[in-house]
Amino acid sequence: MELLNVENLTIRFGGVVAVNEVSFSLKSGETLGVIGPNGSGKTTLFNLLSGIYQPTSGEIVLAGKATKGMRSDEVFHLGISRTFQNGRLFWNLNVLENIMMGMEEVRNSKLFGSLFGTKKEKIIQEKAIDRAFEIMKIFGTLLTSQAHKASKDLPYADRRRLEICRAIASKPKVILLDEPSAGMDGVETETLMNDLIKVKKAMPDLSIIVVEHDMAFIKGLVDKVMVLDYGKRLAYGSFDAVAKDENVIKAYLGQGDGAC
Amino acid sequence: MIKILLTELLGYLLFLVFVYIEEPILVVAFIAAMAIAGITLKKRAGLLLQELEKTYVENIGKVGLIAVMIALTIPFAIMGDSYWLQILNFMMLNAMMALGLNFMTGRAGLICLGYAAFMAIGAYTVGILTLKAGISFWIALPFAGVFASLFGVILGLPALRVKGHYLALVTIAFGLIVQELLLNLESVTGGTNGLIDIPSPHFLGIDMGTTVNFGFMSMTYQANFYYLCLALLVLTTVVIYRFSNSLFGLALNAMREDQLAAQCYGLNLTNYKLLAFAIGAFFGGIAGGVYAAMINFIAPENFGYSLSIIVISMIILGGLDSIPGALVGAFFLTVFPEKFRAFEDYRVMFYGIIIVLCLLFMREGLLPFKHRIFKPKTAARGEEN
Repeated sequence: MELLNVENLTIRFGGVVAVNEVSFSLKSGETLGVIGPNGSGKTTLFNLLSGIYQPTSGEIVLAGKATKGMRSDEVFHLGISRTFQNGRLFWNLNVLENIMMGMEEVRNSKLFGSLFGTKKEKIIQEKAIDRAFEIMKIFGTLLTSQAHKASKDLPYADRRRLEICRAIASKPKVILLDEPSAGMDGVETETLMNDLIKVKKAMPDLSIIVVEHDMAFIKGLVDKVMVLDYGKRLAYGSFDAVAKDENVIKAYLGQGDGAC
Repeated sequence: MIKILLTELLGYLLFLVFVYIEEPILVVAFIAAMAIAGITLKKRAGLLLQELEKTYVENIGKVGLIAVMIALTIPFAIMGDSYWLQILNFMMLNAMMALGLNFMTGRAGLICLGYAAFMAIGAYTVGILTLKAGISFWIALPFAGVFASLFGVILGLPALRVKGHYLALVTIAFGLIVQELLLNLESVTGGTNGLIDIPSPHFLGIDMGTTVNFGFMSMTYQANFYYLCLALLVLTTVVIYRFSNSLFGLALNAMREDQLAAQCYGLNLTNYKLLAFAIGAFFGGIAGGVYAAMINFIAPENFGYSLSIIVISMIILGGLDSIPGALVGAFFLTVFPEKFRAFEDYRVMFYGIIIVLCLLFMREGLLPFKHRIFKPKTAARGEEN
């Protein structure tokens, strides 16, 4: 059964059609790579999926529920969490707290409980801290050893790791990774790849949609690839099929009439 | 434990000395000496100070308890000096407001430049309920807080759509609107004349507006209010502390850091913003209610824009999002100016200078909030060893 169904998704900003009739679907545990040049609508697609933008037309259905008209916090509760292209951690909060912010318990805590410091509240807090450490352990001691640091004091690669941890803390059905390798060198990118494979191993039911510039980066990671260009779906299918697609090569490598 | 007791007693002693010196030149010399001592201590014995700070942070409950014990003795230590008692009362009301505003602005990141409006609403609630409806002060006071909270929500609703500078403008407008309403709803609020002869509260049959005679010494009415303010300030601090150091406080912090990311991580921004406004405003209302009953006279001009600025300069001086910072900021900015009454006209300028200097040279304030709400257990254990 399909977990996520996106059909004819379209959004217009004035005269610009940023995402144009895009359709795809995703099974539980599957990974989809979304690639395309700058300005091709990848991040806009993510903003639509996570409820930041409302589509002009088209539908997003997650596990049988249409997300139309939902705010991003409601979409999050349905089971879609995301990372951001430029990294939007809670900079002055420490690593532990950043991960806790991904958890359901944090938002379910009651005012009464926090005012009187009830036992129930304390147990919730303890459990949340313990679980945050378990999530951090996906990356060995890289994050656990820095758990007390403010997230703004982390090295770049660890910030990315932290973002991923925060995104999976809510036990989502789908996570959206917006250019996780942006600004990283070759070695760091490779480490990140391995990190993502670790996440997939730790959470086999998790579906991932990852936006990337670089085809090579996602090769070993994805089950399917979708190529966007000017908001349109240019190609969609297995990695090998897409990589051979003429249109993709044209758009990507700039071979063709209009290339400069 | 001993360290805490001794340092707090030292602070208390210095404060008493400060209260007793009258000569302006001596006061300036005293403040200068304190500042120099503070700076040299920081330079020469930085480690010692850090250790002291850690002791304070780890035993925050005891620190508070000892401070309250000491505070209980103040009316006797200054021998019922009604003038200074009144200043301390104002200080404590200011501290309550600073705590409330700090919750909104420091913790939740919602800038509010109209906080005086909440105090006004609390004051007029108590004034009208006790004067015109004849309701007891003790029943009217919670209403003062609740009404202020309601207005906090009313302010919050339009504020939901705006951020940053625009939110600041909306809150300024809110403060002005409330003041104008108080001026123009003459039949209820008395307009420019304000409300006169607001009755003093009665406690155990004693009129709190009269002098209490202990036999060996008598205390002016300010002492009664001193203990009332102290009790309310302690309550306020505990409530704000509990709210701040919880998962709820953490969520507000996250909202302050990045609203969009917080929403994408499931925070219902509407609920959290309105709650932050309501909780923050509540304490402004309570402070206003006590003010009305203590002064027995309120008028719209007492709750102008400058009061909002004074409260915000307190939290900037103390350190945004820092509870001890708000208390210390309120203390300094209420007590110090009293020694310079001769320069009363320049008072608001003084607050302006404080804000500018803080933002330029001390962005985190006197007592910055460095200690996060939740700490990893292993690291905490490591620090203790």
